[in-house]
Amino acid sequence: MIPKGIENADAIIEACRLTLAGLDSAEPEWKEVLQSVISAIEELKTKFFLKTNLAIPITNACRKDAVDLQSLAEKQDLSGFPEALARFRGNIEKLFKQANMEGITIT
Amino acid sequence: MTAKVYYMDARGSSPQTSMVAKMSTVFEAAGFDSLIKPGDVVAIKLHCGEWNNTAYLRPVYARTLVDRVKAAGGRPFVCDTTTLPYNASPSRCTELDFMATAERNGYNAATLGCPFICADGFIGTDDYRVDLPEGYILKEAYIARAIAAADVLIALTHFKGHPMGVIGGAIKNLGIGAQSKRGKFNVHMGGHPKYGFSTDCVFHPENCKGRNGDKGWQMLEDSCPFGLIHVTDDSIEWQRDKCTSCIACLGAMLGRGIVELSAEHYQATNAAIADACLATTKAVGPGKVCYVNLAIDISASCDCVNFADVPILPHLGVFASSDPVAIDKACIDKAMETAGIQGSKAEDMGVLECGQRKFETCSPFLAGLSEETQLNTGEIIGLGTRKYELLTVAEKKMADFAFPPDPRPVGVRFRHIFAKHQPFPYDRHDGKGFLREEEVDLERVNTNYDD
Repeated sequence: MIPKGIENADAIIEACRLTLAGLDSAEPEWKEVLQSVISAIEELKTKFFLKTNLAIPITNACRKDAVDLQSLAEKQDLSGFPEALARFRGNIEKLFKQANMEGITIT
Repeated sequence: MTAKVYYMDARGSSPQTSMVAKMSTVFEAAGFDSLIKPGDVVAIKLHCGEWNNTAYLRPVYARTLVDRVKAAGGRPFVCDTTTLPYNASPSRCTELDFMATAERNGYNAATLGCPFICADGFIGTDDYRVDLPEGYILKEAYIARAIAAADVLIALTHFKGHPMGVIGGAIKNLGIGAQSKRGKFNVHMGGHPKYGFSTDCVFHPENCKGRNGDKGWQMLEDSCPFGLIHVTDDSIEWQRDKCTSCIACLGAMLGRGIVELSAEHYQATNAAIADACLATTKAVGPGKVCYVNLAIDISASCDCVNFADVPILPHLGVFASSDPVAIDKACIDKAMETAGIQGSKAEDMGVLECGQRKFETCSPFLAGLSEETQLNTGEIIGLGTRKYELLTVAEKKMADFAFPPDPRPVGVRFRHIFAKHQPFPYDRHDGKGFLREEEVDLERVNTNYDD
């Protein structure tokens, strides 16, 4: 069963928290990004978008990125972290753009 | 009872296996020419496509049926209907808008060889009321006048997914597409005390920041064509009791979290689609409606959306039947047994494999909708049967699909013309005609790859 948007959102938040825990001495900017994503996703969880099927593909992508970041942090393999974080930020931006649901047609 | 569904696949390698030829072949195999008597007015109902959609049926399919109708002595017209307002920028909501969109998409008398008309009139209120005591939820329907007045109706359907209907097949082509605008309000549960959009949704006025906090408040207020939305300084007021379920406001409301939809509104509408399809067949008359489904360019969303995504399935083929339930069921089954397309929404949603339900996973706006609601309802109310026999039709002769204006061999057609207006310059370069290298290194340009 494919995960729904709301389940993906919870998984993204969890992965970000675990990543933060593994980034003790890392760049403060990375931590700021992850903290802001957690806050924004918590806010997004109150919106209807995450309950629609429209949310599934993009939250799947964000969840995968977040799990990748968590894995890098856990392994302390931070050489690939900036690239993975950039990919995550790009998909998070897409998520919030789609969540505006501009021009949506559902009939 | 088992219905017959005539079928040809989508592979092509010759004039007689082109999709237009196959459509014509299954139409003939199903015996549909015999429905048309000399002088009959024949409506060909299709979806002309939304502004900026590119997955709708090419006009040549309708043109091919127009030519068949004329050959049978009928008087054809091709038609579609006006829509609900249904988004912030609808392109087919009045006849003027509708005709502009249809012409941009290639539907006009020149391409079709017959009139292309808006079947429910200038504002979508030209209709014919049908009593429907056998309906599952609807007890009456409003059929677009031109369709109800036709002697014969051909439902020419692009089979694909749909955000609300889950599938857009033959049943929906008539159950929504043959309804007037008034009829569409009915099918979409406008004013319904339980399943209407406004009664069924959850309203969150607290999520509206009002005129003081929302720069786009004017657009939000103006999204309702009935003037039922009023944005106050710090919130929003909505006259829900007068809401028509036109859903023009959804784009503005959903993004702000002001409304939450439930699946019930959609499920009820999908059942009503089958009712309205039955009403259409009653309006035209028993045995006077036939169905052709082209399962090609199978997008997850409908031709009514203003884009077209990568198809979720490869072309499946062309189907013909007198039974709208059976023909849609045959298309769904063919989709089930076919693998999805990589890089499409089928991959996004994890249903690439054979045996997985592509439409109810990829198409609907909300989870919990079934791709068989229209079929189940249709069977209960007597519209048709889910049991069918799929009859694969043999291809016809190539000569049957020759260029009609002049089917003579090319030598006969052009020898005398070329003798007088010679296109090859035999008189230049010692009879070779053109100035060119005698020989080049073809290997050099034929085998140069980056990988």
